[in-house]
Amino acid sequence: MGLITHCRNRLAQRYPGRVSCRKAMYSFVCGFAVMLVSLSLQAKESLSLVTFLERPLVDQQGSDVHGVLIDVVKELMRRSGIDYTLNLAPPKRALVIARTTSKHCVFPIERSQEREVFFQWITPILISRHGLYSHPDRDIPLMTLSDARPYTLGSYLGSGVGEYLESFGFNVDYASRNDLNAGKLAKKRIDLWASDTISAKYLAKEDRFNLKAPELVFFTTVRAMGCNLDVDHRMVDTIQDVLFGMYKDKTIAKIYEQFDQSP
Amino acid sequence: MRTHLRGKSSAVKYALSFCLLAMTGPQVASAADSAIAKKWIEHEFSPSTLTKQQQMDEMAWFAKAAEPYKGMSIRVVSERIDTHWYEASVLAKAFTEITGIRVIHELTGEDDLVKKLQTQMRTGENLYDGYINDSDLIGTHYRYQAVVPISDFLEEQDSPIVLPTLDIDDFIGLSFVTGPDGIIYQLPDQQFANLYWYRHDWFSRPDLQAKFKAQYGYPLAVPKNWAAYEDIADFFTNHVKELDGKRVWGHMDYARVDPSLGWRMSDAWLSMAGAGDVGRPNGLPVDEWGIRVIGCQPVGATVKRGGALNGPAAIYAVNKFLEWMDRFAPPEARSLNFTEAGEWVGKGQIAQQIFWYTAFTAAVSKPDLPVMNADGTPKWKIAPTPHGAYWDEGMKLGYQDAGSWTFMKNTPEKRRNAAWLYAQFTVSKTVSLKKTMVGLTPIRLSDIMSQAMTKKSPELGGFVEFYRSKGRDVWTPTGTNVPDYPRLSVLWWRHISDAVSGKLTTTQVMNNLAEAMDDELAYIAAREDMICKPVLNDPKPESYWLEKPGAPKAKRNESPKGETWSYEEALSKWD
Repeated sequence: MGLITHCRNRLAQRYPGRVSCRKAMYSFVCGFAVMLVSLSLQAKESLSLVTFLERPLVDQQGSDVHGVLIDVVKELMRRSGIDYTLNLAPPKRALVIARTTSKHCVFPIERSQEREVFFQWITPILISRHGLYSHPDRDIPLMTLSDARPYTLGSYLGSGVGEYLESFGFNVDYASRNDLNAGKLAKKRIDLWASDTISAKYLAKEDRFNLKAPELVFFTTVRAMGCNLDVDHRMVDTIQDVLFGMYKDKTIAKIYEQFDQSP
Repeated sequence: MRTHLRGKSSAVKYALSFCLLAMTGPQVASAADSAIAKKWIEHEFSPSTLTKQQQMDEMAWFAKAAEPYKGMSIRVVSERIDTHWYEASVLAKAFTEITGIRVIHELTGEDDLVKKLQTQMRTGENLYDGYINDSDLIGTHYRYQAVVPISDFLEEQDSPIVLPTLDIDDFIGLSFVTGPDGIIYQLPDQQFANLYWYRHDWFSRPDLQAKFKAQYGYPLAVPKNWAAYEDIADFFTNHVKELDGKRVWGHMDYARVDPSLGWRMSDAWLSMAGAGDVGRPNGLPVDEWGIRVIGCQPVGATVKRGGALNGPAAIYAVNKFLEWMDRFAPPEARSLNFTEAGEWVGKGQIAQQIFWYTAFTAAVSKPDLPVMNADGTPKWKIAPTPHGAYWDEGMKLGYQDAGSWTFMKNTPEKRRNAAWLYAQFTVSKTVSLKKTMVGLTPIRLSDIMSQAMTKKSPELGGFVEFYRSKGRDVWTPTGTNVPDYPRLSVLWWRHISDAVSGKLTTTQVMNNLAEAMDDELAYIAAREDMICKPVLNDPKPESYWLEKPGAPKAKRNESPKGETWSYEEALSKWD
């Protein structure tokens, strides 16, 4: 985003209905000053970010929280010029914290119709493709999702995609965690493992399980950062704009390439 | 300025296109392709308005046109209704077998779909090669110019990827997907209307007819106006109360706070009240969202800027929504969302519902439901929606959803072309009548007028009769006055929820909503790169606008006498 455009946006946000970009009265100098004030105000405010383990996207070694998604968010906050802290919590707790505590945001969460009203949203933090994986010794050709109807699909508790499949009447077998599904598939206790492609690749490798390409990549999810409703909406808008810019200038793609984790 | 192709295609041209296919089709399809196509035509694609040979010719054309794309895998997305499930599980498979292009057709909630499309627009990431996106976004697509107009495909002379028998004039919803510039931006894939649903069997009972007439002074029949709807609601909820040992209600609705509460309003509720201007599909210069335009530029939603979102008609519309919910609907209604409320009428306790999506027709036609007769015909009917006190002749009178194929400019061209072939397949005459029978979301006049639909009509409670009437042009989607549907549509549920909870009065809520709409219009204008940007009118005293003809309209008598008419009269009104 250009400097002048950015300035206009800030003015329009502050004085909606009273500002026209075409009005010459807002000079570049005046606009630049407003932008600096705006940015400096934002810099003084800070955000508390809460996330949860989701290997390999968010991982932990000792007190160090790392992973490709952490790198994305670090760069996002750096470019936005906003101070922040980052903490881990169990997924449900992380959601509750951000929903009920001012100046808190949680990521990466699914932006569902039910959750829409409880957060301000910054999206997409993560775009995932979800596949159905069969055992290496057993081909289950799938042309469409409905071809998976006769089979038992492995998912994990709390998975939005598991619930999505169940809502269509598929037979879904839930493990307590996604990493357990690699073992269940190896032992043929499930016919197909429903998982996002990044996690499946990583977890199978960790389990020394030779995973084939998915029989079908059947669904795409877009996950977001959900911020408490009290967070200044101008700050949310700023972070959102920066995030879009990071996709457009391929920063996000480069970060994923460094981790060899393109979806 | 380009003009779209409507009108260029004539009956003669269409007949010639089939002759052309007949001459070339069989020569270009391999024997294997023909065998596959024949299998699908014989076992799945029946009924059809085409002869089997014409179907074979169309399939041969697809096989030939797809040759450069053979082996590719493409990904498209649509909302999750029966029509799209049929496409995702049957048509995608047929297309893959016939053309060699693998299609993954994802299904998701409408809200998620819009956000995904927005994500692709904003990030440049090619999430999907094609979207079936509601035509409510026509104002967005026209202004942002981020989609490849369907007109661009159609205008290319002798294009190898335009189905010669597409017959664009056969699509009934073409005005919904056309921008102010006359360009077709999207291709309709499925349509359903929001109509009036009622228990025809109860309304026909002599004892109830006599009791109603005695109490209200006019016949119990299809309500012509909101006053009659209110009387009928009062009659069943507060006077009849019980039928066949069951508690019955004269009204049904929903009000759970989630995005579907916004659709309850933005899906043209204010048009039924009469908030906008005369002119179809949406009212000009003020549409049913209460947004005024000058030319193609939105100039405001507040009355002080010439809009109608906080005018008397809009306040009346929301007041009636709340009042009827409290006075006449089952207590559960407040906690339901759009999906839950749509199927609720199937329980057999509701006498009428003013805001009911025909997408639920199949769901309330299941033989074991108490709203069905033993012979498979329904006890209910659907009819044109009654209008509110501010409605005038020449206005739209409700909503129609038109899920339409939409292609983004930032999708790689080869992938987009392959998806365009699949899109044409899903609406081709070979498959469209069968798809219509499965999902009851008609898009082609030829399907609606078919013998198969005539035969099916007794089972569909007036669905076929409605789509055969000109009423199909009076119930319309969100139009071109709305410059950024994803950004503006969220304002509806965020503000209406304050009225539902009782936190604010309706007048306060509508003032806030209209101000927020103006603010957002200004914000969009300042921030976005688009054509026909909003430019807000300077504020004037509200009386300046209210005293002028048209919207925003000054306060009227909101309690006129109730009027009803027969089901047949209600339909023939539009012919």
